[in-house]
Amino acid sequence: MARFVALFLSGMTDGVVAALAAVGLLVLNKATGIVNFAHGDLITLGAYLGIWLINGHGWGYVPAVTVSLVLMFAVGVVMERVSLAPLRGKSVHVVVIATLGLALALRSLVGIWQGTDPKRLESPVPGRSTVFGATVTHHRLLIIAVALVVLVAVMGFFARTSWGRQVRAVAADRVMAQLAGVRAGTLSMAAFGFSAALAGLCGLLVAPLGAIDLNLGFGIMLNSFAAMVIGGSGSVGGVVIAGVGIGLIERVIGGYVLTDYSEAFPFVVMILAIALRPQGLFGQREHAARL
Amino acid sequence: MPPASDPALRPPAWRQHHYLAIGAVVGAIALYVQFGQYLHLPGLFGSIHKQSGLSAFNEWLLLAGLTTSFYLVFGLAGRFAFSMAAFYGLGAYVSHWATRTSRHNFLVGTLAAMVIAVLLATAFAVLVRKAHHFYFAVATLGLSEVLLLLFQRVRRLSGKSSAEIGNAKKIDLFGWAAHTRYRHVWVILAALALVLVVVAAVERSALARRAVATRDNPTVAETLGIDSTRPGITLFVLGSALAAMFGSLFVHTRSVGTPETFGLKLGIAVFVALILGGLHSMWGGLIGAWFYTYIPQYLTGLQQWTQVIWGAVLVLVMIVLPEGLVGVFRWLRHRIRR
Repeated sequence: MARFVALFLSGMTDGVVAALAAVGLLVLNKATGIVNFAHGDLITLGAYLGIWLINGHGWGYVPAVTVSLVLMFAVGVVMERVSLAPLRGKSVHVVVIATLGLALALRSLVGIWQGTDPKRLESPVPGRSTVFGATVTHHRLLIIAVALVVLVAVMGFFARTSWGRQVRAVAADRVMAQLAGVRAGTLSMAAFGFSAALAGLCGLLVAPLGAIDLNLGFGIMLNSFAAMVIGGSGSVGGVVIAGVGIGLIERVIGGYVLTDYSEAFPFVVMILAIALRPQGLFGQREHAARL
Repeated sequence: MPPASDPALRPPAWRQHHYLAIGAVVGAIALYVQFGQYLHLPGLFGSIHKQSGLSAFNEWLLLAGLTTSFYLVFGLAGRFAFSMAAFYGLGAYVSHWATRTSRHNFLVGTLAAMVIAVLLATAFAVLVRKAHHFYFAVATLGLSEVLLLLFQRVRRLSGKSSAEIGNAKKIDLFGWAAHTRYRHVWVILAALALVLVVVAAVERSALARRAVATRDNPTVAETLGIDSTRPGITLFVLGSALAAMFGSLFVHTRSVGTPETFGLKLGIAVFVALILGGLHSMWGGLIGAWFYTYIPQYLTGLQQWTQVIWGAVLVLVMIVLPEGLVGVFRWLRHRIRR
């Protein structure tokens, strides 16, 4: 039982982080039609910003996280203005390649800035507790709590605010939304900033779990792609369920069966999901897709 | 098909005489390898008479071969595949596994690598045949991660307690021992020539026309009775098998390899080379791979900025030169004709 609880909480932690990253990708995709392959490196940048402010400058956690998220929002806006706004209207391939270029440049810049040696960040809630016989670090519980609160807030934000309705309108019919007065350019910038801030939050949350390096965000991005695909890119709820499911499959099932290959489970599930339902398990048909 | 009567509509000479153009390019490279040290061309291919220069030259040829294979998948079929580097790795690991304990030479290993790559690529491509754009890209990313994990964990492939390939069998061809970097050049150049001939044959076939029609407008292609999935599957399988062939050549010429060799960095290199060279030309891979291999040698003092520069190049090429460097040559040809 203790082993199951430990694996379950570990899976939940990975799952909610993947879900958070996937929601950031989804918001951007719905507002702009872009899938951002630099999302993983934005996650890495968020973690390094936290380390730089907390370890390097001795800031407290709350101001460091706040400033990091503001900076991440700004980085997202700059990315959109400098490299993706000039490509508006170009094919999906062109834009995706540009995001790949951004990913490469961003990762290398972080490496030049902070070096390639692994770094560590202390948790704001050190220590551990016993839950049903399993020893769990407080930081994992903090990640689950923060991520769930943010996910609920994001879902509420999209359901109830004007900005959220505008994104949903653009997702449903971009041309009609623009004709109705939605400013797609401003929305695109804001979506990039919002998505980058969510990526930064992922990085800040997972940084204290272990030594981090430049590959930190890539693995999380892969899991978030899997969550987006399995969840169906038309549904926030589906993506959240898929993200948590992926974490649980990897840790809980991978904790008992084929343990050496558990990291491959999310990708096998994702490939099967694409094969069986290209629009995602929770997705709707393309013409009816809504956020 | 008879040539167009209007000279403006006539395709350039290298498209009318595909195979002659390949012969000329491969012949020019061969002549350079043989006599390059006497020509003193400043820095075009580094110091080819030195071991380090030969090593870089082989690196260029291997990347050119891999990128030209990728042209079939991405350039012609428009399939956004992240799996080329992983199939290159599959070729390396399977060929090493097939030859390390047996008396088989590298040709048997290469054949085994290509057969396994064909089987895997076919199964995968058929499985995700309905996936387009992002979904296909992400599926290939997932496949790459699964393959890289297998390279790391299945020790039988490397034959050691670690995942690293060491002491791979050297190339022996019917009594001719290609054990030096200079001889490796000839083996890899022959493989590159073979791939260029295959790509030219594909470009002149109905398969390419169907693939391009499906890539550019799938709805119209389907109304014309073209099967929208088959060309993509065929070109993905062919490109993956050729990538595995170059992976086999890599491991038998280098003797060593690690899973990281076939990871993200190589995957990005293939994209940079093809897009910089020219996404819609079979020569794009050759030109782009030259830039990717040799330009960093001129960036003395800026080595740590190399990856940043390639990232910026990807974005800038998309904005300014969507047809890549081949597009520049086309523009120049057009200007000269006018």
